[in-house]
This record gives sequence, C-alpha cells and structure tokens, in this order.
Amino acid sequence: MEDESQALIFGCGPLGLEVADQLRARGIDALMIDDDTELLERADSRGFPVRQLNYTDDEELKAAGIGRDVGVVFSLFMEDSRNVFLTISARALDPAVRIVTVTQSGASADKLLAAGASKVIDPYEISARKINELIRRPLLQETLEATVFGRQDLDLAEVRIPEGSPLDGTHLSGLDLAGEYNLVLLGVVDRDLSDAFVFVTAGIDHRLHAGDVLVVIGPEGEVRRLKEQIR
Amino acid sequence: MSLGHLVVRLCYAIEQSVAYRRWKGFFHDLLENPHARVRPYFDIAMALLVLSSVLLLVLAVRHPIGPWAYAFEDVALVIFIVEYVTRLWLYNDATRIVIEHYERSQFLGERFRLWSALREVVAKKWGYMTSPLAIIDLLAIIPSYRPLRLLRIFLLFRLFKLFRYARSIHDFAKVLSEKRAELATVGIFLAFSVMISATVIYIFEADAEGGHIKTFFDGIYWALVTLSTVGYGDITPQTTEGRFVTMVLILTGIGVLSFTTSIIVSAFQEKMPEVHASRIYAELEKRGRHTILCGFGRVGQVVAAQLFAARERFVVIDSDPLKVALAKKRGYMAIEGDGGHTELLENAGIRAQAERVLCLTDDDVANVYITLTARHLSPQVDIISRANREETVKKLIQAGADYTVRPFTVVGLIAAEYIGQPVAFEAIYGMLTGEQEVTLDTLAIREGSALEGRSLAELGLKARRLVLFGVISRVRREAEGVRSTYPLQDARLHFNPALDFRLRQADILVLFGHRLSVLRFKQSVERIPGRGGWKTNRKH
Repeated sequence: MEDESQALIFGCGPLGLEVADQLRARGIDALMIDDDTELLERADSRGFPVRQLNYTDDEELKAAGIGRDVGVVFSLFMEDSRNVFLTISARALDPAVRIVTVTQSGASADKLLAAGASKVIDPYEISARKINELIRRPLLQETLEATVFGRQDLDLAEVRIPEGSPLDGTHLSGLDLAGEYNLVLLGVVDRDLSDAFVFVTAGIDHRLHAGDVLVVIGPEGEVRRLKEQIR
Repeated sequence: MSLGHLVVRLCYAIEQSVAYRRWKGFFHDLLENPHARVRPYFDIAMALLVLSSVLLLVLAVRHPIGPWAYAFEDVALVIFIVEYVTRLWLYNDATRIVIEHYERSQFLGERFRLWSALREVVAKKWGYMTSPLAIIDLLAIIPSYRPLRLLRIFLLFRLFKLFRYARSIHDFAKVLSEKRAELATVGIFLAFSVMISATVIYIFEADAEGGHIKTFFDGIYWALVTLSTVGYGDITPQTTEGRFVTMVLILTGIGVLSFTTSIIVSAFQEKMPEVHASRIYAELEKRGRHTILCGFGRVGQVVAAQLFAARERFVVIDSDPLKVALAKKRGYMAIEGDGGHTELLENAGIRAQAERVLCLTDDDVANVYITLTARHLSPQVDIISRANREETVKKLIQAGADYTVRPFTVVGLIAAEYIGQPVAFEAIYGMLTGEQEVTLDTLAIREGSALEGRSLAELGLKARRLVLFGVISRVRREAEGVRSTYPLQDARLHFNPALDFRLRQADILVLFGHRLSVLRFKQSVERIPGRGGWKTNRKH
C-alpha cells in the first residue's frame, strides 16, 4: 500500500494471524492487538508486532492511533458482540477509518454494517460458497487456487490511469493488453459512474479517462511495466 | 450426421430447455418430492380416486352400473396410466445418461456408442419397472381390462396402491417386523393357550347337556374369541369346569393383549429414529447420485442451503441431535450419528450412489477421521474437507481428501486484498461465487471438436465478448507462444497464450464472460462439425 497509514488487527486468534500473514506477504506490517496475553505471545512468537490493550476503553484506542494515523482497523474477534463493540467505538473515534470485520452468523452482518463497518466478511458463508464451487467446477477452482489466490506470481491488480497518461481519452477497444503486456484485462472502474465496475465483456466501448482504474490479472512484472508505460 | 449425433444434440437441446426442466420439476414435486407443498393434495386426490374406483368395481360385481360409471372408470384408468408413465419418466434423466456417455467417450477419445447409452437408459428404467411399487402400479391398471374377469383379484393391488399415498402404513409394517422375535414369543404363547384351552373345553363340553361345542374347531374358535376379549357369546360354557377354564382364559387373554400392546408401543418408541434413518437410506438408494454432508455447523448449513436450492440430493450427518432436528426442520434428509462411523457411511451409500463427501465439522480431528474413513470405503468418491488450521491441510490430503477449504485463509486473503484493491477483488470474487452474471467457465477441447487444431485468433473470442484467461493443458506447451505457465495438480495452466497458439485435443479453455455468451459459445462449438470430426470417428 502506498499510504503511510497504520493497520491494526484486533483479535489474535487464528483468523487474526492469517490476516497478518497475508498482509505481511503484501508488505504491510500490521500491529496486532488483544487483551489475551496467551494469544499475544503466540503472535509475538511468529514475529508480528503486538500490543496488549483493552479495546473497551476509548482512551486506549486513541492511544493506539485510531483517529490519527490508523487507516484500517481489522476487528477479528471470534465473538460478534466484541466485534460490534469495537466497530462502534472505532467508528465514533474516526468517521473516515476503514473497518474490516468478520461475522459468525448472517444475522450479525447487518448489525456490524449498522455499527459502521466498511466491510463485513462471513467466513462460513464464503467457505460454503467455495465448497459449492468446488462441487460444481472443481477444475476452475483449482486453477484459481493455484494462481490468482495462491502464492504464485499471478496477481489481480488495479492500475490507475494517471493525469496526462497516453491512455486518457482512448477507447477500451483500442487497448491490447493481452498482446502487448501478457495481462488479461477484466474491466474498468469508471470514476464518472460513481466507481461502477464495468466488465470488459459487457460490450460497452468505454472511453478511458484519467482516474479510471483498469483491473488486470497477470504476472507482477508485467503489471509494473504497464504502470510505468502509461505514466 | 449420424443418428448418434442427432440424439446427442437432441439431448443437449432437452437439457437446456427451460420449459422441460420446469415441467419435470413440477411433476417431481407432484409425485416424488415429499416436501412439496402440492404433494399432500395430490396424495389425497389420488387416494380418493383409488377408493372410488375400487368402490365402483366392487359395486359392479353384483349390480349393473350405468355408462357414467364406465366413463369414470376410464378416466381413472387414464390417470393411473399417465401416473405410471410419468413416474417412469421421472425416475432418472435419460438425456443426461446419453450426454454423460457422449462426453465420456469424447473425453477418452473413444467412439460414441449410442446403443450402449440407450442400453443403460433402458436398464435403469427396467430397474424401476421391476421395483415392488411400480409392479403394484402396473397391476392396479389391469382390473379395468374387462374381458379378463379373472383379473378382478388384482383389484387388491389398487388398494395396495394406497401405500404410495400413505407412508405411515409402510412404517407401521416395518416397526412390527423389527419386533418379530417378541411378537413370535407372544404368538407361540397364544397358540399354546388356545390349543390347551380348546382341548380342555372340548373334553368338558362336547358331551355336556345343551353345550355349544360340538367339534374341536368350535373349541379353537371359542378359545380365540374369548382370549381376544371379544367374546361374541354365541358359544358359552355350560359346565362348571368349562366356566373355570373360561375364567383362566380371560385372565390370560388380558395378559396377552397388554403384552402385545406394550411390545408394539415400545417398538415404536425405540425404532422411530431408526425408522426415520432407514427411510432416508431407502430414499438414498432409490434415486440417483447424492452428496453426504458431515457436520451441520455454520458452513454445513450454508452449503446445505445451496445444495437444496440447486435441487441436489444430499444427506446431512451430525452427531448433535439439535443440529439434526434443525436440518430436518429445514426439510433436509438428516441422520444423527458420527460421520466417521463405517456402517453409517456405508448405509448412506458411500460405496454405491454417493458422489461426494463433504467433511465440514468445526473439528479438524473429526474431519481427518471422516476423510480417512470415507476414502477407505470408496476410492473414487470426491472428498472435500474443511481445514480450520493450516497444518491440517497436509493431513487431510494425506488422509485422502481431494480438496480442502480453509475458511480462515480465505478470509485472510479477502481482508488483505480488500484494503489494497477493493473494487477489483469484489468484482472477481463476485464472479467466482456466481453472484454476478459474468462468470469464469471452462471448455474442454474434445477429440474431433470444431476447435481442435485452430489458433486462438480463429476463435473470434472478442466478437463473442469473451476473454481468454488461459489454457489448461496436460502436456508442456511452453514453446508455442506461451509466456507464463503455472503448475496445477496434474496439468499446467498456460496463462494468456498468444493468438497463434493452436488448440489441441484435451486442452481446456478458461474463459470469462457473460453467462449467456459462454453458453452460446459452447453451443456453437458443439454444433459445428469439426475438421472431419464425426466422420473420422466413425471409421474406427
């Protein structure tokens, strides 16, 4: 991530560790917070920065940086009630902070959203969908598992078209990313249409503007090359 | 174009027909789906039809009946015949069997044999026709054939048909049969009592003044009437000795009756869950493939809901009675028990009809154990297991799981991607989970396919509004304009191959596009005869 803001992970259970792992793989070192010493020790032993904190105390949350330089809060407790409490507290302290949280049941997802969460992830729902996909289309799942979602060098990336880019004003149909770059273009996020995602297969010959975001899949090096060349 | 190809195309057309599916679904609800709302009405209507037609046939034995009665009988007959044929049709999907045969032969590169497919269709249908209920259905139609008056006795079968519409009778018979031993004991005791008292009463009463018992058979009749506490009173003991025997017999009768009642009551109490389970096993045996879902926790519940919505057949196994009750309440087939139990899995059809096993408990130890048991019982069943910890994944694979799903890893990934690239991730994620109209799909190049030997440029994917993600190939194709490849389990993904990449047999295209575009593309590939395609095939 380009911005300097700090990411906090509340809840050092298996879920918190997993998220911390994934973030570290993307070059983000998140601070792990919990009130359980045992869990903190485990996180510490895996080399994550940790801090013991009582999340119910607003002063302590402020001290951790919420309202100042914290950009993202992950609320990953195993109990819905704790996640709701933390979400409400964090939202009250900083209306702009992004709050990502998990839910244990579908019904709580609405409560968490009402409490101010930016994104609620339902691990069970997602797993179930995945299983359903595995049943229906196993080969496809294996492909994606091994590539895009795996640790291999095939990434999903957003490429923003900067001001004064040669692409500004050109049409989507004129773009040959597959040939020139070894990238597969999935679609465009249109800034004019309030960030709507337009799939490339929709058949709309979208006119690109500065600020639009191209969503591509491909090897990391190719993504970097594209970013440099459209500058 | 051969007859085989014509049939295959017809089958594809039927498979895709929305109207066909809707009708089949409707009749499935009407005749087979025990949870359909319309089902009870249908059952009652059919039961009434059976009863009234039987009544009419009984009346016709002694009384001349009017023409309207014949008309009614004809209507009932037509309904029975239609029902019989519809059940035969619903029993399985003939079109799917043909398609499966076709696709298998294409996949293996063998010649498609229409006759072997049709033979399997007929064999499956014959299997249904020889099942007891189907035979009863058939025999129930026969009494209407008036010239054969002898066949009147088959009228009984029309009454047996009521079994279909009232499952409780079926269960009752089953419960009683499970208490055979106890009932046999009572029966033997009963026979003894009857024989002894009949003998005694015969000895005392046969020669008595004004006695009713003239033969030994009278004695048996009297003993049974007395023992059962019915006591018609047409035969009464006249001698003191006879009355003494009667008193003893009455007391014995009360004992026998209450003993029998208690056996039956306790049988019901004990066997109800088992009857339920065996009903499920029978149900599973009866029709097609199904999924065994172990663990009805949060993940299991959502998977079950999705399977249910997709009309897939599945059975839930959980050791928690509360969860089993919940599953039953939602209308799923559910059995209480441990998924790692060999017998339970066997009963659930793991060796036979089960297509896949899902181990979704929140306990990794249980998942590994169930996976191992299932794999041991069936080498070919698909096993998908949930791993709550990263370390378990390896153990599950070792135990024989085909795929593992890690809830926490998925969440970690989503959370991490979300803060980096929210829109892109939401888009692809929606695509993968089928929330969007745009999907990722695969298309296999079969032998003789229209696409075999063609270059990617020739496919005209852009005009079809499809985007090629990559090509999965079993052989290494790095030299042919492929810029990056990624290993899969037993194949390789060639990501974004160049336009001059030529497709070969057994390649698999990974495409993304609107659902309809993908479908149309698949259809058109099926329609165009390939270079030689079918004709060369037939020469072998």
